[in-house]
Amino acid sequence: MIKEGEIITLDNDEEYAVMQEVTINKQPYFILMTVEKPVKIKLCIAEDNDEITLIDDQKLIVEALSKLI
Amino acid sequence: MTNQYDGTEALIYNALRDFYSDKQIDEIIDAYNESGNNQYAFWMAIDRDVYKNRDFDGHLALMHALKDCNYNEGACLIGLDPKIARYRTLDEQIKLMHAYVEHEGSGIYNIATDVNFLQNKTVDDQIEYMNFLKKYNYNKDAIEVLFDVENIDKSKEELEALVKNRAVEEDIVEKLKKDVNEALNSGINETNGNQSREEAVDNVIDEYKILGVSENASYEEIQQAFKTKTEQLLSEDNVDVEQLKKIQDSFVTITYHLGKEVTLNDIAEEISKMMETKNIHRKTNNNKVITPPRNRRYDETTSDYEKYLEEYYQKHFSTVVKESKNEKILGTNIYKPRDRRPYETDEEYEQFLEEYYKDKDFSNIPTGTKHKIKKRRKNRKHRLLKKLLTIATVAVIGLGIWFNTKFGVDKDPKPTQTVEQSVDSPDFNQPVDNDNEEFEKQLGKEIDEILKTSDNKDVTKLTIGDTVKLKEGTRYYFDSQKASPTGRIGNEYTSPNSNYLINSVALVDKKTKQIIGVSYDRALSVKEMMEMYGVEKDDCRVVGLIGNNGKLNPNDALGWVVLGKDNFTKTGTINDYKRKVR
Repeated sequence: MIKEGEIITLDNDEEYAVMQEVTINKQPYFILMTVEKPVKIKLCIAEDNDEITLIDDQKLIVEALSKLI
Repeated sequence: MTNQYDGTEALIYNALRDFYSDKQIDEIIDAYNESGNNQYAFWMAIDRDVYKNRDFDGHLALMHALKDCNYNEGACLIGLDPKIARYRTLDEQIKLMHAYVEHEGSGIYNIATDVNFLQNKTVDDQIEYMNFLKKYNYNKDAIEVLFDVENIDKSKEELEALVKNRAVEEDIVEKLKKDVNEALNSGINETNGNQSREEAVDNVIDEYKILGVSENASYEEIQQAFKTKTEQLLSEDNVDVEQLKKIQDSFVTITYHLGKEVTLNDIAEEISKMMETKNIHRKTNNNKVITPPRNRRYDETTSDYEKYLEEYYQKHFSTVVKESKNEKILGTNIYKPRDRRPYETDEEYEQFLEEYYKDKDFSNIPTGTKHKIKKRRKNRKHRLLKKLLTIATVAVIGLGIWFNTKFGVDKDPKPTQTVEQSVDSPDFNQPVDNDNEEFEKQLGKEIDEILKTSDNKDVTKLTIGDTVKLKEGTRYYFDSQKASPTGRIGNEYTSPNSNYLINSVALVDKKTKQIIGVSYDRALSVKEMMEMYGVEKDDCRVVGLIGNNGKLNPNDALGWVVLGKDNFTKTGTINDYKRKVR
């Protein structure tokens, strides 16, 4: 499982900082952000066995971001 | 009592209002304003760790210390650091802020904030170590020596001997690096004549060539190429210093170009890009919002209320309660189907599922791609990045959400409220400039935009107990059918800048001018009223009974106002109002 405060490198060599865990509709997600330019913000679900699923849903990302404030 | 803040000042006010008096908040805001809207001063003003770990005087002293440190980023982080607040007095913390500025360089920040140093050394020791490193140009290995737990009890002489041995090895490279950094920081790139730093970045492609890496190379690859080239040059009998300098220059320029220090602007840009697609989501979010039933009215008999409840559940929950669980399918507003009943056959349950899913819209289920994690490491800048992300989010999408969720009427959120608010939250595509002077302007502009475009002007989102600002000139009437106007907003008794409380709401038929229904129930929104009375938004006028005395009491009301598209803006709730008055 990933944790806030980590930097993870994925199998496609993309590197993300794990920013914060948020729960939407009872489902926990993690907000990820690249640490280098270009800055990208992603949402993922942490799976078992050191795997994550990157979620493409922009609406969910915006909702997750809104939970930061 | 003050609450006339806008923009960033309003953010600060909202962050501090439960902790400080208005007078104290004024002082914090004044200190922030002195900074010329500096983002670090903003962090210092609103950071929970500061007002939790220091009292008001300490908070203010840290704001002033940050000013004395010329709003240095590292000094700001030292001021915010809860570890330092735990182990150091306020004066010592301020001393560390100043020391950091004086010695700003690799490793110095860690000496100020490392828990080993904080626990085992005094503040004067910390500053002495900083001075010690300065002697060795903040050499990387020297820093490692200091941070090695095994060396924690070594005397200064022993440490110096260890550092000296290591420092000599990389002295040439470190010195070169320092020279080039200084040259870049002074705006003059030595290898390119009078070229500015920005211009140097434009020519970064050449720099990649010098290092012998492709433009798509990762930062690690660039680092490796730099290291290899440097080692190669240093291993030669006659070291080509000019070439070394060139490689160093290229590496520093590329690093700068890659933006290893992520800026607020970058993040805001990214968020803005995402916001561009938001309108699409509005269109796809057609799922019905189910709200709880209203409370019993004071003039309602038990049997009438039971009848209302029965009708309500029949109307809203007949499919949800009986056929589904109170749990949604991931990323949708669709409830999961109920479990199979004990007496149900497989065939019957499958048939039920087929029927259940038939009319459901699954177009907005989140799709995703699975990835393996190859590597993981600790993010030393997590706190900094999180702040940047939060501020950028506030700046781009924030205030509408603040108004609607953080200070909303309902303490217990309704089942689908959050989704709806985020979907309808204001749309901004303007990136926030990292430049401090621009920051406030951008923020102010965006807040205006938020108020223009957000739910705060949607009459169906209003609930009794909300506070609104009313446009100057709006008429108010003696009764909800507009029989006799009694005044207008902006006269000697009613300022357009005041907040007016909605004490009750009436729906009036546009054609017949007859009252469809009146509600004094705080749990009932205008939308629910319309559903309850079976009328469409376009067929009726929403008339609100407004008062401004902070009480939900129709007897203290000022008059009835037609709440239209352009004449009101929701500003908060009765709870906010009471908090401000207190």
